[in-house]
Amino acid sequence: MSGHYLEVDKINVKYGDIQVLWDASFYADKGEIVALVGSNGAGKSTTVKAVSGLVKISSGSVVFDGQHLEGGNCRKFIDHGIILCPEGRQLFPNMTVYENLETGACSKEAEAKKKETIADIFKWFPKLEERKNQMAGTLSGGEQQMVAFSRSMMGLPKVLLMDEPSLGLAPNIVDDIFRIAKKIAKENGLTIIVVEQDVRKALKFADRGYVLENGVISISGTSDELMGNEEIKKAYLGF
Amino acid sequence: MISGFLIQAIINGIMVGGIYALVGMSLNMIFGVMKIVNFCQGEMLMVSMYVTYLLYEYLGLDPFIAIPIVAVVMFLFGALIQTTLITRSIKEDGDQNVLFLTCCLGIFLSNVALMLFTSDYKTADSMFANQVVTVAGMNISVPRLVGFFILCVATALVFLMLKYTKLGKHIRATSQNAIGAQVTGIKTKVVYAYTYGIGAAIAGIAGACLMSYYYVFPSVGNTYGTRSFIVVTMGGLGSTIGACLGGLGLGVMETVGSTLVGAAFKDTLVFLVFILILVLKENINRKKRG
Repeated sequence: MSGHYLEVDKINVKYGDIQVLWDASFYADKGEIVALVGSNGAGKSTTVKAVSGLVKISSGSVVFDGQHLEGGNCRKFIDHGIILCPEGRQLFPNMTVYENLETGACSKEAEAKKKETIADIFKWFPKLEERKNQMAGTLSGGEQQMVAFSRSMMGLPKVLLMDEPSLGLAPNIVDDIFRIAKKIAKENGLTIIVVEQDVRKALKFADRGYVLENGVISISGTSDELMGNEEIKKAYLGF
Repeated sequence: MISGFLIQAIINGIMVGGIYALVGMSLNMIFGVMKIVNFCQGEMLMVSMYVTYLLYEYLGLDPFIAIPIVAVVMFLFGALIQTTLITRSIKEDGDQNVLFLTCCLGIFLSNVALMLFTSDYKTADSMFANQVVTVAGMNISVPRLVGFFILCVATALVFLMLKYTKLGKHIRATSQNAIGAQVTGIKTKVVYAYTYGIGAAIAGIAGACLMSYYYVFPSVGNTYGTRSFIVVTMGGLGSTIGACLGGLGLGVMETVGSTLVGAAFKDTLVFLVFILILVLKENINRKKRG
């Protein structure tokens, strides 16, 4: 092994009898932003669910910071610093914004730094401070995505997995969240793996990318390389 | 004088209703978190009544004093059932499994009680047994009054626990979004065990209070189990306040009903009103949906 920060080696995932991910291998270094792009049903979400422990892998390995992680238990991955910001936000609608954030701080360390992290979050998203006592379910989609992102940040992640953060949101809000995420990645060395259907946006945000097709990683490269790739241009960028 | 009877009946109804409300609330909590309908909640009440009876019979403990012990015993019993039986049989695609499981567990528990205690009625006298206070011409049984007060306190404690403690927040989070709970690192299986345990403990508190003026027999859970389903259906499955109001409403309906039409027709009246409520509710919901 070449010793990357996060190293995913030939993972396979099955839902019942149906295999959805074949021998997916990729890596991410500290502070790096990596995009997983591809069309609907290509296996992108499954990949991040497997890397965050939400679904079990049937074979292959996830090695983070030299440690081998086994799937099927989210909490263990979170304790190692791998946190998933799930697709569709999955907030607690009848709890306040503040309570949603609090819940994100689950490890002892995260709980001890709760107040500081919340102060940071309110600096990034002043809107959330205004709405901290409002039920999360009453927020707009964009604000909910901010809460979801912030709730994940409350756990003090070393690797943040973002699953379809742009789904159903206005473009300028997505840009905002990406801008802040990028700043945190570059300043604090947070590694981000982002899953996106909006290929152009994802590659602009990321340093490197992988293209998934039908459960197999088909192309990989730096964002610039991928943006210049003729096949990708045709299939995903529309020219 | 008839209005005097009515007020008396209403007061009695509220006190009986406190038990229904509490059992309904525990049912609701378990449903909210695990999305399972717990068909043995009535039997949990029965078990806790026997626990109270045993504490009274062998240690001479007053049912009211025994409440903390009964609550702890029931909590452990509930958490044990949850971790050993229920968590293992929850399937992601449908809950028939758990439905049958809790149903059978109820039958099992009442038959074990029948074996151990026979079908005789057992009682445990409290220090307030047979005492009555008279307020403005109304006679109020002291055990019922004390019991009702304890039920109110228990309800308030559950509310505060859910609102302010970390466990309470985790319970609410898990009930509102199980996936969200998992990705924030909440140990959902632990939350399930606690929730079921608390549900059983609440039934335990209700059981100990009930024991101070009522008697226990193996199928006592039937009556209260069915009642608690009526309560949550009236109040809306998942709504805690609905369950409280539903419980009090049902209690009042029973006692006022038996004053008006006679005790023999009490159940007929209750179920008639229940059926009417179901039909009306469905109609209202359909209109709301447009």
